[in-house]
Amino acid sequence: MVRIEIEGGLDAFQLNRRCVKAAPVTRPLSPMKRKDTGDFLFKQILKIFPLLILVLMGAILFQLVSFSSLSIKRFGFSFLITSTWDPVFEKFGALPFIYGTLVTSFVALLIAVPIGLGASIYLAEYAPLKIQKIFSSLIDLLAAIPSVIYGLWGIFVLVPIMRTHVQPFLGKHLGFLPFFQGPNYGVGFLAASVILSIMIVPFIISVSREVISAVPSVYKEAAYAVGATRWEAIQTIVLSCGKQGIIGSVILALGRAIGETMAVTMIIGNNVKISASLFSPGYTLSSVIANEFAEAASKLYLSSLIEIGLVLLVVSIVVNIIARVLIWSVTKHQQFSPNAAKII
Amino acid sequence: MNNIQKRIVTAFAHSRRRRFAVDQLIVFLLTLCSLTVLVSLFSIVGHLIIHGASSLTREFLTHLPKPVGEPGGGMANAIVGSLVLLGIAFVVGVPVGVGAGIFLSEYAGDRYASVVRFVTDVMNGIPSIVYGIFVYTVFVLPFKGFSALSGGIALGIMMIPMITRTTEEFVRMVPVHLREAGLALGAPKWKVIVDIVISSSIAGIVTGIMVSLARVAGETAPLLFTAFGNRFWHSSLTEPIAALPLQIFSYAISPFDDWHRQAWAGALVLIGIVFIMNLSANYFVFRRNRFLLGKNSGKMENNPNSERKLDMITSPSIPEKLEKFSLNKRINVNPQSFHDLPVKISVKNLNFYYGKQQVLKDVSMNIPGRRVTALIGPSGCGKSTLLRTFNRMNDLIPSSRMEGEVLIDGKNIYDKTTDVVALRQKVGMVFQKFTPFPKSIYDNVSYGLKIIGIKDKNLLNEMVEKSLRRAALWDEVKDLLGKSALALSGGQQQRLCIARALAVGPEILLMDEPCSALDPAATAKIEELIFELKNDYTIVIVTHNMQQAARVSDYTAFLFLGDLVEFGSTEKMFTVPQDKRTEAYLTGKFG
Repeated sequence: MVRIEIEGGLDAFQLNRRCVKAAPVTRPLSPMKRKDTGDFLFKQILKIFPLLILVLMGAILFQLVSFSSLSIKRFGFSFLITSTWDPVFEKFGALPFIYGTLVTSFVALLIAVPIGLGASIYLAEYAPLKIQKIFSSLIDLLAAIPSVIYGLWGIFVLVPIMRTHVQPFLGKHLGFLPFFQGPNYGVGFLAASVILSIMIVPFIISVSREVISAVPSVYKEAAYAVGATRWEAIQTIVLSCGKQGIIGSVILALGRAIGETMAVTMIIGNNVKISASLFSPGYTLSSVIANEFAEAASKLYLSSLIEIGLVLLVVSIVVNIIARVLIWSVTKHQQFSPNAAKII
Repeated sequence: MNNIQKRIVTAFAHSRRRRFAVDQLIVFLLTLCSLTVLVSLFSIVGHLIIHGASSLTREFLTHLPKPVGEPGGGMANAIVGSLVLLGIAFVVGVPVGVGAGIFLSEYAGDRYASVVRFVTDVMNGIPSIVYGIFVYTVFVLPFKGFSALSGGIALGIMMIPMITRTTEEFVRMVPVHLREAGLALGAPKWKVIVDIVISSSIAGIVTGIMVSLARVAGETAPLLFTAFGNRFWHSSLTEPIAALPLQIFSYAISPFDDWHRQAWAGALVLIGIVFIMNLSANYFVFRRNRFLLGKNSGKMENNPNSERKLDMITSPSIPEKLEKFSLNKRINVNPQSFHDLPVKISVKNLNFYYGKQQVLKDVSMNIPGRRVTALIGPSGCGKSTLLRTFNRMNDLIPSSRMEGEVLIDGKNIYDKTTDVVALRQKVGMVFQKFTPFPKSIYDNVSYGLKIIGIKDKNLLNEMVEKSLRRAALWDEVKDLLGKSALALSGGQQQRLCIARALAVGPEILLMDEPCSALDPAATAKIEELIFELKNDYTIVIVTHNMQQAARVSDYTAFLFLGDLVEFGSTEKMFTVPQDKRTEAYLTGKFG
C-alpha cells in the first residue's frame, strides 16, 4: 500500500488534481487548516439579529414604563378606575377608554365570531374546491386592506347606513333595552364595533379554517358511518376537536380588535363618556392616543397617554400569549385522539 | 324484528325529518355567513373604485395639496413620502428580520431560538400605535422633532417580527437532503447555509419581505406622531414627511367635499400599492415553486428533522418467531477475513441512540478498501445510520448519541481533533433523494472545488469534465453545462450527484439507496458505474434490493434490529448464509 505524506507543501490545486488523476491514496485528513472557526463566527454573527429582537422588545417595555412613571406616580391605580379626562386641570383617568375598548371589542366579537366561524366551516367542509380557492383569496384581499381605508369607508358608507337604517330599526324593535336607546348620530360604539367586526373576520376565518381542516377526516368518516348527517358530524367531531384552536383564533382576533386604531378613531365619535347605549359616541384606548398624542402639551398629559399605551401593550401581550398557547396546543398534536375517542 | 331494532327504526323515522331539516338550515346559514363577508368586501372595494377612480386625475398624482379651502391640488408629496418611508423601513427591517429568521431556522434546536420565536410572535400582536409611542420616545423626543427617519424606523421595527417568521418558514422548507448533500461535499455549515439554503429559499424570503412591506404601507397610527405629515415636499429626512395614509386620514375627517374626493383617490392609490406588492409576492412564490419543484426534484419537507425522525419511528414488523433469534450469539466478524486487502474503515463497538432508542448495538466491522461493501437488512435495522456514521452525518441529528469508534485509515474520526469538513471531503456521499442544488450543471459539479478556493477556470473545466466522464454523464450533458441541473432526468440527476461527489476527490463513496427512486434502465447505468468506480474507491452502499447487493457488492453486511448479524463475502453470504436470520431475510421470509 502506498502512503504519501503531504506536509503542507502541496496546495489545494495540486492536491485536488492529484485526487482525480491518481487512484485514491491515503492522505492526512485535513488539506487546509479550517477547523470550525467559520461556522463559529457565522453563528455568532447570526445570533446578533435575534438578540436585537429581544433587546427591542425589552426596550419597548422599558420606554413605556419609564415614560409613564410620572402618571403612575401621580394617579396610581386610580388611573384605571376614574373617568375624568381633563387636560386643562391635568386630571386623568382612563376608565372611559377602557370601557370603550372593551365594549367595541366585545360587540365586534359578537358579530364577527358567528359569521367568521360559519364562513370558515362552510369553506372547510362544504364549499367546492374552486369556490374555496376564490373565497380564500378574497379573504386575503379583505385582510390586506389598510385600516385607514376601512375608516374612510366607515365614515362615508357605513355611518350613513347606521344612521338611516340600522339604528332606527334597532331602536324601534329593541328599544326597551338600554343598549339601543338615546340619540342616533350614526357614529358611536355600534358603528365602531361593526367596522371592527369586518376587520377581524378574515383572521377568524383563516385561523379557524386551518384548525378545522387539521381534524383528521377518519373521525368524521367514523361519524358518518354510524349515520350522522353532515352537520351532526361537524358539530360533534370537528367543532369539539377543534374547540381550543377556534377559541384561540377568537382570542387572537380579540387582540386585533383591542389594538385597532385608525378605523375606530374615525367613526367612534371621540367622546369621553361612559354610556350604556351603543348608539352613543365614545372613545377607545388606541383612539385617544391617536387623537391627542401629537398635541399633548404638558409632561403629565403625555405621560398619561403613554400609560394608556402601556395598558394596551400589556393587554395585547397577555391576550396573544393565551391565544398562541391555545392554538399551539391544537396544531401541535395533529392527532386529536383523546377528544375524538370520547365522542365516538 | 326484535324490540330493540323496532325502537331504533321508529326513532330514526321520527327524527329523520327534523335532523335533515336542521342540516339544510345549517347549510343555508353557513352560506349566508359567507355571503355577508363577501358583501362587505365588495362594498368596500366597489366604493373605492367608484369614488376613487372618478377623482383620480393627473393633477392629483402630480401636484401638492392646495391651501385649505381652495379646490384642486393633489397628493404627489404623500405618494413620494410613503415610498420614502417604505425605503427607510426596508433598510431597518430587512437585515434584522432575515438574519433572525435564518438563525431561527438553522439553529432551531437552541433554547435561545425558542425564546426568540416566542417574543417575535408576541411582537407581531402588539398594536401598531404602541410602536409609534416607542419610536416617539426614542427618536422624536431626544431630537426634538417629527421626522421622516423616525416614521420609517417605526415601520421598519414593525416589519422585523413579520419578516423573521416568514423567513424562518421559507428557509425551513429547503429539503434536509439538500443541506446534507452540501455538507457531504465537505462544505462547512455556514457555507451550505449561504450557498444552498439561502439561494434555494431566496424567492420565499423576498415574498415575506414584500408581504410585510405591503402591510406597513397602509399603516397610519404609528406615523401620526413620528412622520407627522407635511403639506409640502420634504427637504430632508430629519423633517416631517407626508404619507399617503396620513393624508387620507386627515382629508377623510375634514369638512370639505373636495378633500373627501381626494381621500378616496388617495385610498385607491394606496390600495393599488398594497395590492401590487402582494401580487408580486405571490409571483415570487409561484416562480420559486416552479424552480424548486422542477422536474424530478422531489417533494419539499416542512421540517428538516421530520424525515429522519420518521425513519427511526417506522419500526419493522417482524414475525414473532424471528424475534427470538436476536438472542443468538452474533457471528464473529473476523478482521483478517479479507486476506491481503487493507482495511479502510474500521468500526469498533459502535452503539448509537436516537434519544432513548438504541438503533445500533455494539457493531464492530472492518470494511476493506477499494471494494464494494453492501449493507442490507429490513427497514429500521440501522443500516443508514451506520452509513452516516462514516462521514459524521449523524452529528446533525439532535438528540442522537454515539459510543464507540469509527476509524478511517486507522484514525478515529470521532476524535476531538478531527476536522469534520475535511473528513467529508474525503468521504463522499450520494443520497437516496436526488440532491442537485438549484444551480447549473457546471456549478453543481464544481461546487465542492469552489468552496475550497479553486478559482482557476482551466482547472475547474478540466475537473468538471473528468468527474462527469467518470460518472458516465459527460456525453449526455456536455452541451448543457450551463443549464439548470433540475432539468435533468432522475437518473441523470443521480449521476450528477455522483460526479459532484467525485469532483472533490474522495477516497470513500457512501451511497444511501442510490437507485431506489430510479427505473431499471437508470439503475443499470448506476450499477455499471459502481462497478467501474470500485477500482479506485472504497464504496459502501445501503440497499433494499438484494439482487442489487448480489450484483454490485464484493462484501455484504446484514443488519437486523441494530445488530450486525453477519458480514462476509457476498458470494458466500448469498449461497450459504451462516445465520438463520440472514437466511430468512434473504429468502424473503420478512423484510
